[in-house]
Amino acid sequence: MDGMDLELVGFFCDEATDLLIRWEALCLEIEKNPETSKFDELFRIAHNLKGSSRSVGLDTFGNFIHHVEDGITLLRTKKVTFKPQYAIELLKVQSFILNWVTELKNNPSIILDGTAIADAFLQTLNDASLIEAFNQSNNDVLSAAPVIAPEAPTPVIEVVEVVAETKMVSPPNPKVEKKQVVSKEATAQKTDETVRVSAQKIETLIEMMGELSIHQAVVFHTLQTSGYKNPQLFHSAYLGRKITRELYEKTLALRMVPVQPVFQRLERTVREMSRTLGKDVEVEMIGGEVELDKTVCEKIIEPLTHMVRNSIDHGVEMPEIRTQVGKAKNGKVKLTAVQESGSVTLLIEDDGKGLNPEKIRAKAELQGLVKPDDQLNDMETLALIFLPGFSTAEKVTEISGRGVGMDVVMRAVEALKGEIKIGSELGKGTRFQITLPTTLSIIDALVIKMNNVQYAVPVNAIDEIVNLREFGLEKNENMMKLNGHVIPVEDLSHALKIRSGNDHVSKSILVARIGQHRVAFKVDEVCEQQQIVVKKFSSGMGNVFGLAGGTILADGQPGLIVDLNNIAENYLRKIQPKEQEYAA
Amino acid sequence: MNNDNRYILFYIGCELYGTPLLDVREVVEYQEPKYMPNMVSHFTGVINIRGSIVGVMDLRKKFSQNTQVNKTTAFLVSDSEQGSIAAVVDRVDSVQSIAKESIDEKPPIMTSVNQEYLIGIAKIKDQLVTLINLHSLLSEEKLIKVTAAA
Repeated sequence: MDGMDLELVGFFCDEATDLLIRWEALCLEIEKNPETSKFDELFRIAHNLKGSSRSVGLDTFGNFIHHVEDGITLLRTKKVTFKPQYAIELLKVQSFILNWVTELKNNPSIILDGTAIADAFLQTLNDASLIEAFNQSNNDVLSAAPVIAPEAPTPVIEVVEVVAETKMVSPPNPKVEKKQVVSKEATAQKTDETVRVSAQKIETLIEMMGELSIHQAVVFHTLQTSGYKNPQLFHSAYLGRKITRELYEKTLALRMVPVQPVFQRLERTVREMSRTLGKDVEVEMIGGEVELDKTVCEKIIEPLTHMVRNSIDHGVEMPEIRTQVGKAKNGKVKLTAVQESGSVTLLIEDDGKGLNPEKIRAKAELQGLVKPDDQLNDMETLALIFLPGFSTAEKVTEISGRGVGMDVVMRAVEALKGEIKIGSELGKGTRFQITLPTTLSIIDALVIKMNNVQYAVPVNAIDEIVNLREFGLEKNENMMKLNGHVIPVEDLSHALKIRSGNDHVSKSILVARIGQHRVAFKVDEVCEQQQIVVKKFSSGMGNVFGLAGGTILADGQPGLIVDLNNIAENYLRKIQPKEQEYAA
Repeated sequence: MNNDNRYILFYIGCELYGTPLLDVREVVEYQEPKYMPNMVSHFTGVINIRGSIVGVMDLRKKFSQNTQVNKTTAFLVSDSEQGSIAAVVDRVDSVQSIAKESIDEKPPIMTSVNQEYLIGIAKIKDQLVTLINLHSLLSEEKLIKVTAAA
């Protein structure tokens, strides 16, 4: 066991602990109110646990979860009518897994024997499912029983097989007997100790540090302007300011983590998949030291894993074929992280067979996602794979997961305020480019003025800024011609229903883009660009039209963040109520 | 000292009101709220309290009083179900213990206060005090006039 694995197991344990807490809560809710959506969530949790454990090499753990997952499926698909007793069984399973995870933190190679637990759980459910299934018809039974051995001739034997397969060892007490596999030094080493702190606490700390810096600046400024009467005091204030500044930077850095562990987890996925598929794939990693907000890091793992799986499953060819077309026998997946100002770009490149625009087009037409007479260029055609409903995986396999499409990846990236681009050359390979903000809470914004009040508009929502002094409007100022296109113009203060005074003169225009459409908004004045800390509104003010949150502007005044996209979408919906596709 | 029967007393116009002390997180000096569009009229904007954005509900407007802002105008900040909200009052008077027996609960009189938020009327030093439940007032009041399009 090397250091990397230890770190990965630690990563996994943290994630698993959170998932298990949710599992527990769900069981308790299910006991009172067994809704399908809750079983779905439970299933997702189990599925996540399975996936993550396997990706860090904890195969025995993954297999155990796999059995449990089968049981949950029975409940989820209503093959078994729910009884409160099952919630108790599920809780037993949960405490066993939690125990295992806790042990893993101290010894990453520990294996607990869950046979008895899994047996009891599955036995209960299988018995119930068989009785219920028998009452219906014999045909249903095949699909009802867990699909561990699909070729089993009769359902009764199938159940026996499940039991036989899980019952590898059968100790009297599963928790006492711990089998320890692999090296001795692993027991001595422990995973790097980290303290999990709630993000809220760090957030509070950052806020307080921000306030402290402001007051520190005031103190220093006052001392400077009042003359250097007391050198001792001035010296202390000077040092105090220096330390405060450093402290502020350190506090902000608390949330940042290097992307290396993410890359390592992807590498592991690549290795295991290529082994399973009989493909030979190398991984190249560049820029692992680049840092991202921890939340961003945690949330990006799943979509990235999905993309890497796709690259290997559908992109990289089998070794024979690669040799035939004159490529190196080994496929290659390249992971790159590049630091840019305020954002980080992640690249996932493979040298596989690339995406075929014609096939994608045909498939999309078949699914009804595009009309046969729609004109699309190659870039737009490739982007079709991000549409919901465009999933290439028809059968559920261990590799492609359970039918999760690229639209999920797209949504995950968008939820992180990121952007995803796709490039592909037929026969040469595919390249995904994901641009993510370094942190979720600090964004670049344009400070504008309307009716003498300052507002902040996120820069990424603005397509173009036009100075009205050099540019005329047409048709009662309701339209403008920009680069040969006619676009509608709306007064932003009208759209937001801001009370406007008489001295209301618009000097600039902000252009927003929603898919193919553009809308221009008149504003009184564009002041400057600022980095702002986004503060979500409290729940009572949370869902107000046209505003994405609040912030404290550089002068210490509260400012409102204008949700330009939301306003533009609303505007488009008003003028063309029949079409509903602007969100794309 | 028992906090349960302690009330913070404040003026809106020339009326004396009181609310349970524990409903109020802090009392803050008045600052001009930043106007926020699409909200109900007595929600007058947002302010910055030590780096966080807090909504402002003007109890003067709510209780139909047209008083001007002066030196004694203050915010009572309360952690309601809708998040932190600062309520504007004309003057903070004092903190008093009021025994339960001396509160006339839910008297059948018309007041500018909705019965749901009304705790009762108490008599302190020959003055009548309208006791309201600030927490539930701020929690239940609808703040948004135009919600985001679904």
